[in-house]
Amino acid sequence: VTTSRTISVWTEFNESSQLSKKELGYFRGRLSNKLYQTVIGEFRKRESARFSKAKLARRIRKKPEQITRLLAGPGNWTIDTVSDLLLGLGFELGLSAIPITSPLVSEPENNSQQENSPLRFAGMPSDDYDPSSLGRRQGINSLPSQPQPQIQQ
Amino acid sequence: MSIQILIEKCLENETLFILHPSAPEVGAKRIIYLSPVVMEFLGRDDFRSSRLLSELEAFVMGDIVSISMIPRNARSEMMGMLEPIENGLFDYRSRAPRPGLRLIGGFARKDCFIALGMYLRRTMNEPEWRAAIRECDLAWAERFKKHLPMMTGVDPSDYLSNYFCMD
Repeated sequence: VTTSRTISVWTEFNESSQLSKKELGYFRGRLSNKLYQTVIGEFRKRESARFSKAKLARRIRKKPEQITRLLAGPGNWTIDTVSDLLLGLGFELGLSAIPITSPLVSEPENNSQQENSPLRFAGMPSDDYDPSSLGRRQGINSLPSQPQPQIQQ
Repeated sequence: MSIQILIEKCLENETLFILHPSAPEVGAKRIIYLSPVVMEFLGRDDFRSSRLLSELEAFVMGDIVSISMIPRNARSEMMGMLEPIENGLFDYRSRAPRPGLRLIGGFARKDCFIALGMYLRRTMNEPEWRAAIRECDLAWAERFKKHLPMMTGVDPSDYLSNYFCMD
């Protein structure tokens, strides 16, 4: 029997409970990653159409080496960074808030230490897990920015 | 005995753990095995460990991974090949928030990463890197005997699907 663990930080919304550092940090990381996936996904599409890092750098007034560093990972990104990169690619961010629902855990668990473990082990999906909630979580999309009116000089 | 059988044995004796994503949109496209030290760290209630957890879950779910196949070239990339390249070791680079963390390990096959050691980046100078790589080499050999980490060259597509490489 093999053991497998899921460290779950998904919680039901409870307005009276204080969120743990784990929950706060985990969802910050998820957001950061979603932003990175969105930007880099659009860059890869543009890159295949011969849109270069140098062109992106010029468009958003940065040096090419800065673009290389930014596209390699979201470590130091700010909201402004995301805005600039997406706009440079011809997009702006579309956002929606989606409710946090129960975790879906993928594998049954046979470990008898489950109750006492400091980690939460994988188990069956919780009773209130709603399979129809799958697919509702795609909360971030990049939207093509609207064409700007031409200003006559 | 195949490396997969040895991995299964490690799971049985808990010298390795498999990370299952807990997020609802689960649909694992990659596999990551973690040493007990890394797994214990991920179970902590703090900002740093939970950030690493979310990153590793994204890795498992098949999100785009930036990678550098030139040792010492990685700056912001999520993964980098380590010297000596013939050892087939990589580091997974979790850079924010500080302190930066490095997970060192190798691929058993494409999209299957085994992280055996975890280190604080700020403590890593040349001797510490060498020691860490040696440590992971030994940890790998201890678990998988004659099966070395996958090493097929420096084409990232051999190791990862859905990657982004700017080398």
